[in-house]
Amino acid sequence: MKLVKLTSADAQYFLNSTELMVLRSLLRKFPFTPRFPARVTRRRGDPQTAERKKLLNQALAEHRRQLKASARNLLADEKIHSQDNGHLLTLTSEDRETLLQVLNDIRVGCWHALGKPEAPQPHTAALSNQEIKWHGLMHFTAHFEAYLVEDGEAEEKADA
Amino acid sequence: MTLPTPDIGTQTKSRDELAPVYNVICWNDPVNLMTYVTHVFVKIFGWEKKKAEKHMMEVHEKGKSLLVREGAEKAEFYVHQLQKYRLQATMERAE
Repeated sequence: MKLVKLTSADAQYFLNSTELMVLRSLLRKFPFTPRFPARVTRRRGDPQTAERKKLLNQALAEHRRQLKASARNLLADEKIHSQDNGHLLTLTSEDRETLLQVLNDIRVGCWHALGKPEAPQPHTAALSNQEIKWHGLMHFTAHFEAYLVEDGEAEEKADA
Repeated sequence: MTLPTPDIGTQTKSRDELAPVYNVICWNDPVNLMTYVTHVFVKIFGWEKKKAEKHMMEVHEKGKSLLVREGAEKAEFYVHQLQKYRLQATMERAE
């Protein structure tokens, strides 16, 4: 994945065929993180905590629905221009934030599935096939996230 | 002539009760990438990258960082935004 063009409205990335295939596969896995109740505070005793927690979980559920709808269009045909040696993907600034959140949801979901280890990198070769898959997904999501974030930094400089 | 002494303690307590202040805190986790956390802080708070990195490093090294102090409504808004990016953020009533 490589940034090839940047304007204030959108960014264009070059992906080879394998990267595009992996990205499509990742997007199909969203939403991945299990629905667990989000915490709004770590302190007990605030009488408004229950209501705030309810509102937070409702907001997160709605956001998840919106992300799922948006994720379907992130790799739509009109956003991808195929070339001889790869593909050009055009993302608006909003698309890029959506893609980042979708990828990170998968990454966090895999981490939960692995039992929330302190060190996300595996220390042992004795992993089940499922655990290998989760580690692999975390690796792939980190690959794309890193490029999307670094390019975002470049955009800030370009806009300055 | 002596001016009346205002009861500062009572006034402060009353104001705090009406408008409590909350610390918005981001907690460390081993899964979110450091560059991702910095990016999220820049996006949500509109901070310069340097300030966002300082808070990100504080989260990483000290286990948490106090991001902003706000009234309940705004603190709640920030917690929602941060959690939408899957960061572990909470609002804690300030002492």
